[in-house]
Amino acid sequence: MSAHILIIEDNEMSLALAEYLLRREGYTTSTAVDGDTGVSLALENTADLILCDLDLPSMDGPEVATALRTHADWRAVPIVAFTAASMNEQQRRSLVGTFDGCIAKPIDPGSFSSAIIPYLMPTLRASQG
Amino acid sequence: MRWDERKEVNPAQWLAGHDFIRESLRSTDWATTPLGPIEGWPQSLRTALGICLQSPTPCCLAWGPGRSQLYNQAYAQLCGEAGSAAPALGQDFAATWREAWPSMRSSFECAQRAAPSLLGNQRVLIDRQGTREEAIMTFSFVPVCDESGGVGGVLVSLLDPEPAALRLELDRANEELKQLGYTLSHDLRSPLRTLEAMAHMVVTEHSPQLPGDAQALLNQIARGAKKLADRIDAVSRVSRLTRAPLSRRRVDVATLVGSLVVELRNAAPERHIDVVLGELPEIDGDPELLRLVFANILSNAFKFTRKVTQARIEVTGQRQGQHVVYYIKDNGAGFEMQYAGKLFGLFQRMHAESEFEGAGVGLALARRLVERHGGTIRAEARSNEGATFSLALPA
Repeated sequence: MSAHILIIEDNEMSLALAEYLLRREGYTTSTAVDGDTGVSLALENTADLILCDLDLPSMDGPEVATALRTHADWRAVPIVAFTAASMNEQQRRSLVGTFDGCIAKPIDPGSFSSAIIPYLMPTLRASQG
Repeated sequence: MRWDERKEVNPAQWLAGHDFIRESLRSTDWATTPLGPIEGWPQSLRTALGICLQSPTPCCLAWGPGRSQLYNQAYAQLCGEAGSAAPALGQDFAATWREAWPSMRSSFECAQRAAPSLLGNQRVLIDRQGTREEAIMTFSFVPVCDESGGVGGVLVSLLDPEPAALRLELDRANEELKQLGYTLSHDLRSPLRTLEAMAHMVVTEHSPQLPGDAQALLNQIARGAKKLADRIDAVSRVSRLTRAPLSRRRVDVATLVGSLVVELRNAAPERHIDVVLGELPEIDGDPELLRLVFANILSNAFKFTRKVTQARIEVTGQRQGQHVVYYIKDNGAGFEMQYAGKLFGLFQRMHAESEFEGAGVGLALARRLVERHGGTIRAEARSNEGATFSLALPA
């Protein structure tokens, strides 16, 4: 069995690329293009990993992560941030505690699927990964 | 105004002169305007207009309750009147400055009540070479008394802003530029990189299902997206480097050039190039940025001598007055001097991409960096007979 990954990303191109790359590896994906929908989907507790953009319409990425972590129904799974390549070290460090890790955008097809591996339980990792 | 007391005065005398404003003033039919026929204008109006016309700065006399405008040539130019007609003559001053009028109004009316006023650093739209541009101007409003002793009009002078305001304006422009740089790299570059990756993946992962011509098109899409993203990176880089503060130090140019030559030789070990290094005097400059300048010019010399059987590159320097001039001479492909104007432009190339690779960024960057040091860069060349670049930098 391989993991179910929830992607919360408002940029359609990045979303399409991430979804394609993850499905190619055999993962199941679901998607949300804004923070509110992302939180509702996450609270269904079917995802094993959440990839979340920082800059989202209405509720932003850190707000999504904080809302989930403080919610009574939340079954903790890793939340990984999509960060812009232009982000500096200090900005990156400010994410510690809110997110379990980060993956730089634009998504690099060569490294993306291996970048998520550390956040998944070994039994949920795609066989090729 | 006691119009009943006016004397007829021949405007040909007090409005003598052949500039287009005086001619327009004489030829306008004033009888149909609130100012009335020009022959009957009171002495106060004529005196104030005389001062206005003589004023070296843009100046306008706004006369009467209708603020009818009379102005000098400098003011006409600012308002976009190109030197043949002055359609704003006699029009309401407030209509000419429509956009700024709400913030200007109280200062103007203050002068109408006989108190001079100064309105600093107004953001207004003025005409510069045919296009309307935002500018910062200071307005001075001086009341002009008429024969009744009341205020007949307001003399408005436009002054250049104070240095502090210019500084602020510059900071604002720089901030905007920075913002634009961010937009470029974030909002444009990212989707292009994704587009490139997607097109590339369709070709590599689904090629069996794709007809050959569709593959070729997708390859072009990927290459186009990559080229655009690369250019955006280059623009961001050039803009970042040309805005970075200079940290000036003594730069040992001989050592700098020597190490660059070693690097370039190592990158092309199969080539045999005669590199002759002459005397290279030290200068004051930013070592990192000067390294980029020499690296770009030297790597061009290496690149464009690639097809020559016996490549030769000479780097020399000499002090000339307050400057040191460095010459980088090669016997490579050169270029036609008639295209020399393009040489230092961003993304300009002198040779087909298939013949010599490159994005057309190196020399554009070099020129900006040399100019930031207060220097100049030139090139002399002939097609297939090599090129000589000369850099004059303050010693």
